[in-house]
Amino acid sequence: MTGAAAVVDGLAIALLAVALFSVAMRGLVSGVWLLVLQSILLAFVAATVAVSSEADHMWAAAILTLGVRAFAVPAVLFRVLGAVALKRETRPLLSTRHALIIAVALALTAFFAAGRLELSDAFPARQALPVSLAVTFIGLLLMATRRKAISQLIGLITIENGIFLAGLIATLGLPLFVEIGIFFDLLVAVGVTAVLTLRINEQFDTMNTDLLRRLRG
Amino acid sequence: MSLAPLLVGVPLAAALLCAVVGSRAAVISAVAAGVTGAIGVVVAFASFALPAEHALLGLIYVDALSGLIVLIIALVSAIAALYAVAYVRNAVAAKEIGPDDVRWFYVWIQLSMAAMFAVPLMNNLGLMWVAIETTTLTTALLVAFFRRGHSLEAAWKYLMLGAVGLAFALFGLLLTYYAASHALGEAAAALDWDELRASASALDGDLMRVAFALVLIGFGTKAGLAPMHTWLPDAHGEAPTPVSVLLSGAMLNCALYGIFRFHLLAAGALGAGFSSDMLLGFGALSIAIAVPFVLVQHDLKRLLAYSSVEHIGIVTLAVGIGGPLGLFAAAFHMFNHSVAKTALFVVAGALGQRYGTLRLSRLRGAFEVAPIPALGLVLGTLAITGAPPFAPFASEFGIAQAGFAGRPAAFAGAVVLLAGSVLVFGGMLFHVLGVVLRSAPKHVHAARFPFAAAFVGLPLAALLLLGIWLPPPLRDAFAAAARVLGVTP
Repeated sequence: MTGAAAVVDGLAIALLAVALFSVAMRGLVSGVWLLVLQSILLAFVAATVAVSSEADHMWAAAILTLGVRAFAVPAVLFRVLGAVALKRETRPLLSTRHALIIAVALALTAFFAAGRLELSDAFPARQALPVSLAVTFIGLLLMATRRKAISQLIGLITIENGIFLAGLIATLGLPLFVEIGIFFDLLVAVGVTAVLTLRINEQFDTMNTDLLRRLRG
Repeated sequence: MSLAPLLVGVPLAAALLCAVVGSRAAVISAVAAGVTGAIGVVVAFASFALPAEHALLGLIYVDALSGLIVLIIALVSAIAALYAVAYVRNAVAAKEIGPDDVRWFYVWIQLSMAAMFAVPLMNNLGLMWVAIETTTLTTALLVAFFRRGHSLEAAWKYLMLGAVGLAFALFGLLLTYYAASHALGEAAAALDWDELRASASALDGDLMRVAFALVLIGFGTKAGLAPMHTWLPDAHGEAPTPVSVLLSGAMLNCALYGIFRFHLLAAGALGAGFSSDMLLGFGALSIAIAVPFVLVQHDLKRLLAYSSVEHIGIVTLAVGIGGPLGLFAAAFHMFNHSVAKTALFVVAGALGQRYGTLRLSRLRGAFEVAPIPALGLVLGTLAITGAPPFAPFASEFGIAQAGFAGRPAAFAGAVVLLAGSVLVFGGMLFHVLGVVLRSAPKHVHAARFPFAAAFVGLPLAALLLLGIWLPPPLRDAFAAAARVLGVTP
């Protein structure tokens, strides 16, 4: 059990590192690849929990994670990127350096805040819960500071990854049919946002949500 | 044998049929909405009279609170779908919608209805979350249906804020599951509403406090509670009008329903104080924030949208005040707001298509241009702002009465309610009188609305009747919903 917990902790720390990388990188294609990496790490977390706790439905969670988060969702995102021929996040609200400093500060805050919680987790991985909180915060930061529609979507999926990690380790996931519903929703959400992104692109010839600032009052 | 599964099944089948058949999509959608509406009324009134019942192997759970929401969705969505037929025809004539896109409009309308009906029917809170998220996705595409810059902006904002909100709610759901799996053991049923409600007092109080706060922020975003409401005026204002009707009349209530379910759990675990006070606070804040935006508004549909923020706040405030009278008035007011807002948005759509704009400064002389919508606008405004003898007056009066008789926080909430109502009454009436009274412009578009009188007149007549005399079946309905919402302190 403790061996498995150590593995989960290691995977969680790796996930945090990947999330920090997506703050540091501004290329959109590498941003999506980092999402793939996040998802593969999450699938490994689910598989580790499945092996060690003999919770069989966690295997389903692992396979769904690979299929939906690591494959289907990035595939949609790559298609959108191909259709709009856009390479980099230009002019984010914060410079990369400042964003990284804030991201590290958020991660430290998460570790501090989660350290104060006294939860008797179903799974004794001590680092995973603060990491999930930190990844969620970093996703919020990405959404708030990036201007390209695709980057905001990447931020949103990062938030969901953080919550998913918390679910995996704190409660051994939700009941299976709820999880399937949530995965289905994620897939549809990415599809819908992709459609909207393409239409925004058609309309404005850019995917800059900055131009979307005309409705007031 | 319960009819409840049909409420999701019929719209789903209709969506499929619209996608396949295409050319007759308007008729299919209208007929399906009529049938679903009738089934919804039957299911709702059965739920008010009978004890809570299960269907589909425990997947579906219908009590009087679900019934109230089902009743509201049934009435609102039937009117929205029937009204959409004329609206879409006019929009195609005005080249706002391409002829090939028409069927997809109805497909998404029907899918949205299926998702909305699913929310109050799901026994499992996780699946309820999935249903609420699905309403965001289906309606977001409808908001962007005109593909104009502004509507894309509104849809994007709606989708992003809605998704972040729902992520918060998912976190709250996880914590609830965590608390439940500790209290009830690792049962697969650990998110089923009936089991959770029965053992709410065993849930960990600290966890449920955090969980309720997260859910209130998350679903509150979706319900349009201030300060998370910023997507709402954009989405309501830019959406095709039948979609505005659905959003304001039906969907906001679905999100409120989710909040109230978690309120009952939190109250069971913690005592009523914490979650009631949170509801009171957010309700009062929503009323207060809506007022200035109503006063300075320059767009008719955004005016109605801010009025929705106000009234969602009033319902939330009323549940926070609690007590038999407060909860009865909350259920009554939820119903009144949806009916009144349906009539008002139909009117706004009719005027908007004639004038080709929704700017209040350019909507002039409506009595000359379109007498029936103009009359509907004036009467509907009087109704929604709480002028007697319309029903919203009665429900708001009940809420205020319950507040003044309640604890100090409830008293303060009632003061906010009264002050806000008076200001909104003045502001909305000022705007609306400008629309109907000033001299008409020389040129207006031809837009035909068969049955407009029915879509506007019937809801308003109903509100007038309910304000004077509340028929016993409806009185029992609101009382039954209030009993479900009742928490023992």
